[in-house]
Amino acid sequence: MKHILKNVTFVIFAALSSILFSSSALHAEGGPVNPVYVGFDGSYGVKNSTSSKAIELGLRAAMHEINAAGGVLGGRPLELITKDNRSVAARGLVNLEEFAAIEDLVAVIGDRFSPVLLQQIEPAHAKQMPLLDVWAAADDITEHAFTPSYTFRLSLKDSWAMPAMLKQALAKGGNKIGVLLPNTGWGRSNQKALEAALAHSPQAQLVGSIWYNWGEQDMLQHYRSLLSSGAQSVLFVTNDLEGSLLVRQLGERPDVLRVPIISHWGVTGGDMVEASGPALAGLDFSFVQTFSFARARPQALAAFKKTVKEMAGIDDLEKLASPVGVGHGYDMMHILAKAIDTAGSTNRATIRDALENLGPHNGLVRDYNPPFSANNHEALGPELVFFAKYGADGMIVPVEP
Amino acid sequence: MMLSTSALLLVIIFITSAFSYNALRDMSLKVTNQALEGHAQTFRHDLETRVYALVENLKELSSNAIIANALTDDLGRDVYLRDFVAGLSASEGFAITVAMTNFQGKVIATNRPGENLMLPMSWAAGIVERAKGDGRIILSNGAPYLVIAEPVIFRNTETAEGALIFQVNLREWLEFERIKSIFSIEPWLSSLNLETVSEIASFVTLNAHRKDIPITHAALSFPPSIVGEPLVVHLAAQESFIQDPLDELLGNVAAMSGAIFIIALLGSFWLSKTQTRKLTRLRQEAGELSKAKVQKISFTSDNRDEVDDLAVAFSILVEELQQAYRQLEDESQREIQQRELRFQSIINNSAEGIITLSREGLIETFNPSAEAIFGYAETEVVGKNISMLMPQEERAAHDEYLHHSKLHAPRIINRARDLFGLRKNGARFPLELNVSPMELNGEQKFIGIMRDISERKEFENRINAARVEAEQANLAKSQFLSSMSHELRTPLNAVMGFGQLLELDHDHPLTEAQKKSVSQILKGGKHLLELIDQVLNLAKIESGKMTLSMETVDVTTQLMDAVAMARTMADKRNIHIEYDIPEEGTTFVRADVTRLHQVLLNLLSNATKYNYEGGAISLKCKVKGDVCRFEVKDNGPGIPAHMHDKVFAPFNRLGAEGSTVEGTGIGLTITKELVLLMHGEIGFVSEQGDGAMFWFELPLASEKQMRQSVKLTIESIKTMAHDPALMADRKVLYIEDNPSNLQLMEMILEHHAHLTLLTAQNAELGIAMAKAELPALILMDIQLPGMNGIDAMRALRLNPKTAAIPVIAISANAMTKDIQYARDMGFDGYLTKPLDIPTTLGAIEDALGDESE
Repeated sequence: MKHILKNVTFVIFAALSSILFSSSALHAEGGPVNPVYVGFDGSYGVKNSTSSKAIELGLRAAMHEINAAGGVLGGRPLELITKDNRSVAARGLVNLEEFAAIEDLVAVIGDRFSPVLLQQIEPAHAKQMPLLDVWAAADDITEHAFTPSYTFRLSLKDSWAMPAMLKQALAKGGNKIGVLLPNTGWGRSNQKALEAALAHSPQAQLVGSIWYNWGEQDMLQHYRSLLSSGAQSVLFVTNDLEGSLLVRQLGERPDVLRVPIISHWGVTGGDMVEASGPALAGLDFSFVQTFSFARARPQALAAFKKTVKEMAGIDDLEKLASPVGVGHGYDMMHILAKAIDTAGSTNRATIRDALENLGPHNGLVRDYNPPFSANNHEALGPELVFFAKYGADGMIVPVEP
Repeated sequence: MMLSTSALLLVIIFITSAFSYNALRDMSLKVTNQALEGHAQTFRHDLETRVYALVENLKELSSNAIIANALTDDLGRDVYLRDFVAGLSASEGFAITVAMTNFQGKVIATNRPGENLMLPMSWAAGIVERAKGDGRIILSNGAPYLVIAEPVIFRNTETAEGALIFQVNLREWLEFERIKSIFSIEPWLSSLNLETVSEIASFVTLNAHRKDIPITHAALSFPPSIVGEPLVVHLAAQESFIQDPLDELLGNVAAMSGAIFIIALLGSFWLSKTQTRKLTRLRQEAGELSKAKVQKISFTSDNRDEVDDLAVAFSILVEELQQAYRQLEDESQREIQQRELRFQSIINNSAEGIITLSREGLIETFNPSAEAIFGYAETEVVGKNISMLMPQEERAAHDEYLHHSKLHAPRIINRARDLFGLRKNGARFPLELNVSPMELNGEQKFIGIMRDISERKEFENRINAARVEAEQANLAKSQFLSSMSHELRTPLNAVMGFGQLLELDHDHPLTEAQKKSVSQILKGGKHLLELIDQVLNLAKIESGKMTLSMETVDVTTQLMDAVAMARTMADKRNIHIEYDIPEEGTTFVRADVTRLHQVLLNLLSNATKYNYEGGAISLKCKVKGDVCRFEVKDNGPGIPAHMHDKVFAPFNRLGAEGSTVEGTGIGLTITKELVLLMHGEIGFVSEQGDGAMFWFELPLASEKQMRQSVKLTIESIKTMAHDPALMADRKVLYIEDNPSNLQLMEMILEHHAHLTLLTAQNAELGIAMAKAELPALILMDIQLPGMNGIDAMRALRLNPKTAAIPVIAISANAMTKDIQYARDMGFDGYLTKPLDIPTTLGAIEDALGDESE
């Protein structure tokens, strides 16, 4: 009698626990059960940076939608892991190593600084880790010798930006152009692009080309040096730190001649308006962009608006800083999710192949037909490049040339 | 005796030399040690300075932007380091190994790839983590290595992202030219070394018994951040270097002293014989000089040696002394004489009387001016009491002052007082006197300086009298005028009143002849009244009693009024008035309305009166700079040149007194005064036979004054705004780049307290403000800089928040097609510039009224 009772109890206990166990297995939505990870190697630590948070917002908004629709690979939620490389290549390399060591981490998304990504190309290929670029513009990030290529870009390229900037400079009157370049891989990429653009614009005359270092304390001397060489406009390849320094310095010296400044888009990666102060409004300072919420695809925009309101309580899109980061990050994450599902696993090499073989995708920035292919790892194109300036209330305002 | 003394001395010298040899030896050892010490300090300082310089260079280099840039950019890293270090090595002499590490302490670039770093990666990583520099002295193969490092701070993140390391073999320092060359400069040095403290300690112990080797050590002190085995500079000199010279010295000294001594002995014998004799003689003769005062004294000299020369010198000295004494006496006599002459002539030629008194008040000197003032000759008054020159009543006071001079001194001494004096002829006269004390040969005297001021006093009296008279006259005139006006008018009223009664009596009509007479009476009365008024005006103006109330006046209204009134008179004589005046509401001057009217009327009436029948008058008014210029021209007979200066003179009618033309003769005088009072200017141009052109200018009203007068206009429009829709608090946004239009709108809406005016000066700002403030109405200037008004309005329509706000266009284009275009584009209303105030207010009202429905 006793041992029967024991058996029965045991059976009942086993049955109950198996029922409970299986039901919990069936309802596996609550906690992070077996998520699929995506890494973001951001440069949060750079002073005044807004690009990292903007890209993160775009990534998370897309993830929110994807996860709400059931996640990837039949029910696995996407999860974002962020690291800070502080714009230092050495740290980026260490971050990449650490990301690669995480199982089920399918791709690493890059931030603003080309020099970091340029040095991450080799180890990314060694580790077969897809490196997805949503901002950095140096040509060599996708134009390298490694095959198959693990770097994909949904962003601006220097070889599109430079011709547009040159054209803009000529349109502003004056053939004599000066250029300020940072002493990094990004600077060199732009120099190459500029040389190519100049070959197609015989009327343009490059009167001076000056290299400056990161952390430069006096940008005005370089600007004045270009002026004294006869520059009638200045092409400025810069981020917001050196960019706002020049504006501040010009503000202190109203006696210095102001010529139109056509800037690369790095200035929108940080608190440019705040750091420049009131002098910015008085300058002819325009920069390239690829995306603005005012030009977003309406259907995608509606969905995006709903998502960010739900997720973060944001209802005024005009106030978002570094909008290109938000838009590019959002589209790239959706495309990645599609690639993961197409690949059917978290195998990085398979996902890489899948990225090249997707169908069309309607994004926020544009409609992709398709985003990537075997011989094209650029999701955007030169036709998306336009110019903008900072308006009266600090908002980015498109300008007609 | 001499011989014995010298022999004794010689012996003493020899003994002391022997004893001093040892002392000398010790001293020279000390000196050498000190020299070594000096060198050691110099070397120590040299090495320390180099090490400090290295530390400083490292700090500077690590904070250089190029290094920070190199940390992140892999291209050319090695090149940067090589170039910088090449420069450094050249200046410091060391072969420096420079390495750059990443944040983990791993070397990513170095200028000497073959060289190993003495310290591990973890040390460099620690420097990055702590963001603080560090230094070590490491011994390797017996050589002391200096390793220093600084963190490289990234300006864009303000964090340390790498480290920069210098590594140097300090032993190389011993091979530097500057250091090694010491051996050729100071051949007595035997060795120079860099040792650790422990090495030195063992050396010292080994050689403790050798007290006579010259050696020295100097401890090096490096910056406290450098940790490690302390180092010492060690110097040694050659032993023989001390010994040999000493021995030589001893021998030489002994020989030399002996020789010199003997020569000296012989010499002294000879000298004492000859020279002592001569000196004694010289002494005797000098003694006589002092006894016999200055007389011819001679000094004997025979052999022409130095003592004889001394004797000759003494003689010459005595002669010269005598001469100088005589000269001095003569000169001082002459000077005293001259000074006396000068003083005397000053006193004699002075225009003022100068008297000197003794302490008791007796006259001692009396200069010629004093003689002239008082009438006495000097001889008559010297020795007499000064009171004889004073009137009786003053003498008592004078005595008092004299006897208690100290008490009264502050009031008397060195003060000019007005008194009376007494002339010889008994006359009393006013006198100005200044007394000062004087001391002469120990006696107290007084000097008195005086002036006859009778004339001055008289002038003063006369002036006072004249002033009083003038004041009284002025007062009388004013009083006369005010009483006269009343006195004159009263009977005149009677004349005018009764005259008019006669004229207008319908019950008892007058005959033709009687009418003529009455009309003459009335004309005369009127003329008299006019004259009285004008004279009184003139008097008021002259006495400064005329008050003007200055306002901002529209010249056009005034001119039209004046012309209308003048026409009545002009028409009677068939005189044509034409005018060229500005439009109403464009020209404003500061003036008193009544007086301006008076001036215009006067000039116009003159132009009519002194003109031919059927003549013409032209009235012009133009803005000229910051005044408004009025011109009244007639083509009458004009004013001959010789009368021009009398034109504005009162009661002067320039010959018209005898003519039929009526006039008082003070019209123009008053006109001129009035224009001047209104801060204007007046003048005329005329030639006989060519008519006359009278002009006057008045200052234009300033912006502020005009605005205030516009305010008053608007006050009157205030009554228009009764619409209840305007009672609620509403915001009106005006987007306009022209500041004066903005100001005008401010003024227009100022009195509508419930309407708040917001402004923006370009489309961008305007759109931003519209979104932020959501006004009830937007006024949009179409011609805006940058984005134009039409685009801006369309942009506002796109935004759901702002799409429903009514927008009124404002533009200088008034063509129908422009208005239609704007309405087609979507504007709710259209206003043309320049803005008409009532129309604008009406449009605003309508737009806001519609909204309230």
